[in-house]
Amino acid sequence: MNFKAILRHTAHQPLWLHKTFLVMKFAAIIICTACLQVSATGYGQEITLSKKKVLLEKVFRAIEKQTGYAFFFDHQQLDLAPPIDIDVKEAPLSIVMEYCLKDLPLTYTQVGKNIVISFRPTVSNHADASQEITGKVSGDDGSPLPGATVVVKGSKAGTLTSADGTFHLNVPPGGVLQISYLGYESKEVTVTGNGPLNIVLKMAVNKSSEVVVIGYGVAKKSDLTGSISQIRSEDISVQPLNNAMQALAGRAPGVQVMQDNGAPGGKINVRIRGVNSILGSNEPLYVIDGFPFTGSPDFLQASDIASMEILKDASSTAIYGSRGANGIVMITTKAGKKKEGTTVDFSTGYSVQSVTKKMRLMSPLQYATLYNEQAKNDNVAAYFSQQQLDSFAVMKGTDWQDLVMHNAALSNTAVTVSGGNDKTRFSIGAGAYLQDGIVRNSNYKRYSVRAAIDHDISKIFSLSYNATLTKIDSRVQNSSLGNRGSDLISAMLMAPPTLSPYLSDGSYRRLTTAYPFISNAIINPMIPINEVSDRLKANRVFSNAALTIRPFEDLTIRISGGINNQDDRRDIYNNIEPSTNSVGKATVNTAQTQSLLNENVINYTKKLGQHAINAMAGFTYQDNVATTMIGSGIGFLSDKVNTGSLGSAATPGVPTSSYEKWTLLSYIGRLNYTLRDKYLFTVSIRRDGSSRYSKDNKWGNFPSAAFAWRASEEPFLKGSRVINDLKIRTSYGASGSTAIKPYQTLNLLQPGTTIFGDAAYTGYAPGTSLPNTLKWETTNQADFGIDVAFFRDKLRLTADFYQKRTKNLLNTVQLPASMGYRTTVQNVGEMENRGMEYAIDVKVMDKAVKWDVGANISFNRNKVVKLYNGQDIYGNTLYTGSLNDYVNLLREGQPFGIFYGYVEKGYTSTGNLEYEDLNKDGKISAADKTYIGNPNPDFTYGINSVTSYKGFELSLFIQGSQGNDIFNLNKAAALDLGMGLNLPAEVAENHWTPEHTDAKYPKITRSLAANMSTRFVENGSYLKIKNIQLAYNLPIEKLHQKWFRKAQVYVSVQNMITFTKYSWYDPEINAFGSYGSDNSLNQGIDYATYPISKSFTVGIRCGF
Amino acid sequence: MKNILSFFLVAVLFSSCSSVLEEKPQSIAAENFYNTAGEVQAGLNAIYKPIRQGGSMGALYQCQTEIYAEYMYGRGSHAPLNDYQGLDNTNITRVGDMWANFYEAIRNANLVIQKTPTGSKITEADVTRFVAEARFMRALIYFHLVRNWGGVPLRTEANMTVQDLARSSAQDVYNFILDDLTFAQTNLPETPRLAGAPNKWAAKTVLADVYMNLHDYPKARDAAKEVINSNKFNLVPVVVADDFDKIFGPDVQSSSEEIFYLKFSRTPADQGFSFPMYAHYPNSGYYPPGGYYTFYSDAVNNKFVSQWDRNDLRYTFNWYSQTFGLGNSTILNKKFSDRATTTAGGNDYPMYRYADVLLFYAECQARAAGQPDADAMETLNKIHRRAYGKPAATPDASVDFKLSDYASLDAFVNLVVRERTYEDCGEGKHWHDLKRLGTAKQVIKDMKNINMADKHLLWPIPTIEYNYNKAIDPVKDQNPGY
Repeated sequence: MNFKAILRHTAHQPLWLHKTFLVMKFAAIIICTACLQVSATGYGQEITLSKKKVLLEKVFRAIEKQTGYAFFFDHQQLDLAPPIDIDVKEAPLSIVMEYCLKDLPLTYTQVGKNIVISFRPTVSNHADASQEITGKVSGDDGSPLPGATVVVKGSKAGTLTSADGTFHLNVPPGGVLQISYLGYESKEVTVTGNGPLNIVLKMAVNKSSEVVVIGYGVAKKSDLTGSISQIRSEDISVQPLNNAMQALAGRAPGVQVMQDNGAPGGKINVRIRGVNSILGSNEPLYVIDGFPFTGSPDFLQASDIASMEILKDASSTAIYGSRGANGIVMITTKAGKKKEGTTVDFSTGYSVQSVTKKMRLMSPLQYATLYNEQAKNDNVAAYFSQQQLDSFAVMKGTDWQDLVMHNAALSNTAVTVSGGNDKTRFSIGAGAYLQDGIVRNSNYKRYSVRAAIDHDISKIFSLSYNATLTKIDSRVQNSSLGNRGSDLISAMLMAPPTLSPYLSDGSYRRLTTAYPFISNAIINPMIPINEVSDRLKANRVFSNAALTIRPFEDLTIRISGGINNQDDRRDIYNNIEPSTNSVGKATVNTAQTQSLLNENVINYTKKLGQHAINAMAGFTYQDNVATTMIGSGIGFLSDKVNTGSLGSAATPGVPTSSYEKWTLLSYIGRLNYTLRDKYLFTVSIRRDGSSRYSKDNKWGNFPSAAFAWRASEEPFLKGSRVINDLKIRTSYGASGSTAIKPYQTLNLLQPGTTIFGDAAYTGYAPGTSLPNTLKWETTNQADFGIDVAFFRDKLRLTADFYQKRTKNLLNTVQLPASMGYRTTVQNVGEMENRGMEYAIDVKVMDKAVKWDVGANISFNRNKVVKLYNGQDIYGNTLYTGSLNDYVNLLREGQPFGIFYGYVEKGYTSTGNLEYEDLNKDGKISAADKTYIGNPNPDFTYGINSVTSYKGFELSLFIQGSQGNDIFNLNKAAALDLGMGLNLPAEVAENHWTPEHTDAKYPKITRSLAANMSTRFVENGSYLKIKNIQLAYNLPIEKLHQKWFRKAQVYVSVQNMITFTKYSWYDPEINAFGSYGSDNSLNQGIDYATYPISKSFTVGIRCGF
Repeated sequence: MKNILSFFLVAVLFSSCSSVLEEKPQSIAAENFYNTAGEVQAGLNAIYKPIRQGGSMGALYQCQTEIYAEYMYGRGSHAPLNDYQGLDNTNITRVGDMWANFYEAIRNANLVIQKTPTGSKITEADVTRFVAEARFMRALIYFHLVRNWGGVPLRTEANMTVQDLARSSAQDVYNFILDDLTFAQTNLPETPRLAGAPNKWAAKTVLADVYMNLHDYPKARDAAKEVINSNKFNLVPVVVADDFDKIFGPDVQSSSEEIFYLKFSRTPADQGFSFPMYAHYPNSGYYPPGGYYTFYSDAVNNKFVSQWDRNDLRYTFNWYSQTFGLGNSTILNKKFSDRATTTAGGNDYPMYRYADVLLFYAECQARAAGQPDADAMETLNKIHRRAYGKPAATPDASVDFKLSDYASLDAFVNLVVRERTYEDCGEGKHWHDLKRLGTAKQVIKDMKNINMADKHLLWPIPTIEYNYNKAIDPVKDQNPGY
């Protein structure tokens, strides 16, 4: 083999071509290496063996070594065999096999190079009354189970089921059959009649033999050394979710899921074991069918997902190196299974959503009286006459919340068809998720089609391919966190109740001129709803293909490629509208993202007696190109033009475009070693090269090591009636975060436009961020965990203790404005997360009534350990109209994003706000600020209960968070009193007057000296009944219709009850979660956000 | 073994291909810039961008200073400005943003000053005139900074990247400004690089203004005189009030009165003058896209406006009646209006026009001489005559002030200042006059009957500066009262 020819560098190729060749070369090398190894091994035909008192298993292993044949058998089968003496020379296989099995109820079959040992069909040579019975073994989903073991209890007679799940066996009358199958619960059946037996095995849940997906491979749960939680498709599809990641909430310990707001298609924040990064995203890395995916996988329908695994500790995440620090969510989509027939699963649900709560705001009379009081206090003439007040007293007023929000429909339909035979398996699914938002004219529609195909080309080669096509069409009515009613949500809350939205001629009322004292920013909320369209149309293509080569049993080579393509187009059009002086404004934003992935992974497994090893090595290439283009225009002759003709605008905007690319090259390697099935060792390493870092800092190494001890395999526990499984795990390793954006280490100039004469000229100057030399951000994590199961899996417990320390934290450091630069990025310090996680699963009842309860709780303590020069880092300055300061703070020794502000101590003698003068210098200044709240919860928890009786199934899902504070900036408006804003009714009812000094709100005056203070800090703890579902399985087996497998009808409610002291819409809020998109420091703030909804759902699920 | 071998081979291959990790952005890096005349001019253009924004001299800077004048009131979030008790949080943030914009422009100027002399493909002559333009702009911005904040950190091409930089004294800032302007007046060309870029006369005009603020009247007079004697500029003739649109209107490309203007245009989008948006009432017709009517006055209840001679065409040109709940005599300022726009105003901002130079000269000539003379009075009368629709250069007894009526220096200076108040009304310049003359407190007391707090005279050093600049102590180095 001439490697040189393959590796030769071709000169002067275009870059893309060069890269394609590069990938092809890798693939070629792997195939060649694999083939070489195969031919070198060769096959011997004759067997020479001489041993005394040797176990059959050893004999078979010896034959494997000599001949290259592979033996397949069940240990139970060989346990029946006594040790034998053997002495053969150059004997053919058939002779040796006959000899070995001669006195045993076993026989063998040869399929190609595979030797399968099975029970010898029992022949009716007994004189007793044994009778041949027939039966069929199938799984609880109705599919037949081929190869299941059926043994007559107390005898050596037994057999395996055939491909269609059937078996024949001679059984004495009253005999008991033991049926077992990997991954299913074993069952005993007493033979009574002689009719065919129909035996249904239940899928084993939470068994340690279950397979879980890990980075670049799969592992048996019993072999895991890391901390991994699994969520199965049943849990994902139990409630309507616009983002399947919401299913992670409360279901896995150590995982915190936060909704930024209630907008359909709104962003979901997921945190695994706290936050590690300030600058970078703290979102976990999503790996979808092996493809590391940047961003949130909102293109997936919940029904497409087979399982999600959450990798938490370093031994599991380090294999993803520079992207593993925030944990990994491995998403496995549904694949075809080898089945007798093709199955169809169909589900549909219809929900009605409504706002969880309405705010009680001032009535017209309260409004007018309050602002008259303000005018009086500020020595201005009263705004409203007595006559007006009298008319307000009998007026119901405008309920802007009712005008803006309504009950909205949601429907979710999915169908999956899957099936397959020995060679080819497939799964094809389609789904439609159609959600109207509770804010009028907002919606989110997602349609998707996906297909997965696996095909075995030959014994050696197999191919798999899957593709998901998704179309998202969403009309956005989102809050832009506006001040003083300048956007939809804040205007809904702040528009005066005394004013109607429309004038008598049907035109919109202009709120800014309605009163002389009113905010000049406040908009009529009906205008964004009716006169502005903001529509996002997105196409997502996500596709993976893999070639798996198995030159021999122990070695697999997987060469895979993936494409992720996203095309977004957002059309925004403001109608011609005289009351807002809009002459028609059109903007078209387009964004394209394209990511290519190539992975080449070799996996080698070998078991030698007490030793088992699994080695994995590989290299990967991934790149990502993001481009945008924005065009706009103002002034159109007709709204009909909409965004269809930017060129016809009276004033065309300057078009803009952008380009950004990153590349990541990686080597990966992992070695698992198991000694006597008891001692498990794992070491792994990843070496990542990232284009984002400066020239000498591009490469980083991310190693990990782990050890686990399966104590339950030790003699002193084996056979214990109490503990049936016990594993102790520990691991340590490093992972990283690619916190910075491409080009952040380069000093790039930004173009800008300016005018000379009457013409536009281009200027070039640096942006406002000063470039810097940057190093990798690395998180070291230690984990200690225990998995234990009691009373034959009736009670399972998992506990994990961890400590994470992130070094070289990257952050945007503010610069003094006088530098001309506003910010720079630096490696600023260290952060630590320590925590405990517990998960428990109990089978409370397992008779006619079945009741399973799962619960988990996690505690995380975050601490900022070190910061650059010990200097604090402030969150973004938040501006509300009257307040302007930062709220969140990073300080050494304090938790991440703690609230920092003034302590309010009451009112001055004139009813103004009074703050604690903490440094006793006689004045209130920034030096009087202190810690006033903590957005990080003490603990979060989830409880999941499923009770079933006959066909009924009641599931309940509770989620909660305890000890976190919310900074409710919505209340800032109550201190911004010169602007004519509507306020909560309690401001009118309970404010300071000389007669009522012990009031909740201060004096009604526009000269309040307000600051970010304890006034806005509220207890954000909550317990939420997320989902209650009552389902009924129709007794379709009574119909004896073969084609109809199952049918279930259900009703459910989501977010129905929330126990909380929080005063605003909903405590599950994070208004600035996506503020500036990559700075996650602004935690736990609520400000004019799209409210969260509750919903009531009815639906059916059936299978054919 | 062979696995290891192939892995090793791949490793070798990989490291040789790590050029794929090199970043190739589709944009220009600073290291390769400022080499050609074209590149340096793009660098110069970037100086103007930050200060032209709506948050600074595109609108809010003028709103801020205009509302402080004795004839104006603020509304909504600008209402606290005419309480004269310093700034509230909203307005502290606003002026903080101006600070940031000003310094961003200074940085862009510093880059040109630092990099241009080492440019590889640029002539010596180009280096000189481009550096002169950058130094002119830098001086102009520092001049605005020092008047509003007092002594500020002096960012030069030498200390651009030093994070902690203390405030310099106001005197040092002025010295620095004088140095830059002296260089600029010598090295700027007669004809500007582009319409809206400075020429040497612009430099001399700013120099005159700076000297006046330093109370160096002879030097101020000389600089103003040079501009006048250049005979490059003329007052635009006015017959009826609307003729003033030939100076301030949206369709004016340039006029004989233009010395240094910030240029704006309706197209492309986002390049217009935002100030009219803050001036007008929706549907008034003066600014079709709407308006915030952020500042207003009162034809009857404001002392200064009520005394304004209604025959003065500038009154008619400046004001229109508009009620919105504050009484029937409410008036809004329409000096900058654009009746045809759908986006932002096409008007330019006349930072320095010939009328300013004439009034500078009149005042300085009198002050330098210790008393007014015929030359000073004639210069003042040119402005006055035009305001009544008369030819500026022709003495006209029906409107002219007589020297004998204003023989004392005080009387004459007061007359010039009042004329400037009329002439520059709506241009955001008068507040700086009041501060320069030291009469701010008295005038506001007289005209609005409000006692101005001391802290109102200077803006606070913004949080975005002292939070991150350890050389500025937030308490000790802050301006008084904040």
